[in-house]
Amino acid sequence: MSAPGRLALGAAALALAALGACAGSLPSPTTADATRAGVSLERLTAGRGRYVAKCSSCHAPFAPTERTADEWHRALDDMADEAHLAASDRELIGLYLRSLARR
Amino acid sequence: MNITKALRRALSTACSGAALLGAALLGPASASANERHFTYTYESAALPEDALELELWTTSRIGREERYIRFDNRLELEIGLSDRLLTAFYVNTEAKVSGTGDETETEYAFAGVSSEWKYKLSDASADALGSALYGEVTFGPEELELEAKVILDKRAGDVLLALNAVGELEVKDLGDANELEPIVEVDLAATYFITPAVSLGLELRNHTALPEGELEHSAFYLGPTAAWRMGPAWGALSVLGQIGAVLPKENEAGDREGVHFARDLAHAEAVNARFLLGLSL
Repeated sequence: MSAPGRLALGAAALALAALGACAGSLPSPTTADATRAGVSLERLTAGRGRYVAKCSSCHAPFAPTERTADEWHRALDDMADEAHLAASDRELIGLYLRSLARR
Repeated sequence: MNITKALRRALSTACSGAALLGAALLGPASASANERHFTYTYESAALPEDALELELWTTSRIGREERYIRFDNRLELEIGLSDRLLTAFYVNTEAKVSGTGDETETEYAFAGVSSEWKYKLSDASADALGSALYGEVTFGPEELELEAKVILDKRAGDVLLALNAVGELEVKDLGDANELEPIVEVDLAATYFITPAVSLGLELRNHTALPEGELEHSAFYLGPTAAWRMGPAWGALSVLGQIGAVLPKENEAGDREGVHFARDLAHAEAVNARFLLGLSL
């Protein structure tokens, strides 16, 4: 690779890393979230995983705090068929979103 | 006349693909799209498991030292094998018009088939950095091409950034006298979502050809890119102009002596444009 190419690659990698560090990511559930919701941390973590797997290839996933639990319930009703969500996926995704929803 | 014929055949291939997409549009469709927001730079997103997508590609490569217009067409079927792994199958054709002065040569050819595999490691929105590994092999009538990419991207609000490091090995003239041409490419792109369905951005490409391990050229391309989504269909268009190339410099004895930066129309085109049309099946 040419020197300008290496420079461009290095600068771009740095920019991406900086953006990644600053922009944050979808929140991972904590023990406190699980205790408050009365479900296991494993199920909430699995729900986050299914949410990313099933939703993010079509659109950037919304943060759970962008909606209330009721709003998430309605949003999942709207999206479940369109995204071909299996019942188990829908339940896990719903648990994650409602447990970390805006209160 | 020959030019007309070649262009007509290229357009015919493109139209056939578009007709296929149109026919599919009439059928039931899901929202399981894997839309792209750039045309040269890949993103880490993968199709959901069991989802299918049809894509039509047209790449126009225009303007060299002599008359040169080339269309590379690809028809792709993409399949989600799991929520992280996808594979795709391509049929490739090319049409080329080249020549100098009054002499014009036209070619239209089947350019082989390709198999693509992509594995998503992390998500551009949900994780600190999106990443994926990509491999593609093309079997053509006169060449074998192996390509590997490392894909990094990040979605932050209405901005999406992507970076690809690409290594490619072209084996030409299969037979007794194979010619190896390693290629290194870096693609960098950024786009802004004007609405959730429409984005506008820039793409930068650095394409370096190293036949026999020696630098032939390292060309830089820059230009706008736009993408949109409408129901189960999406499209993306980039038009990149060559801003120059790093080229080997030769002394009077014909020996290589350093490099210089200049526009290279001997090995690379003045303009590269690509249009992608996708449809979730």
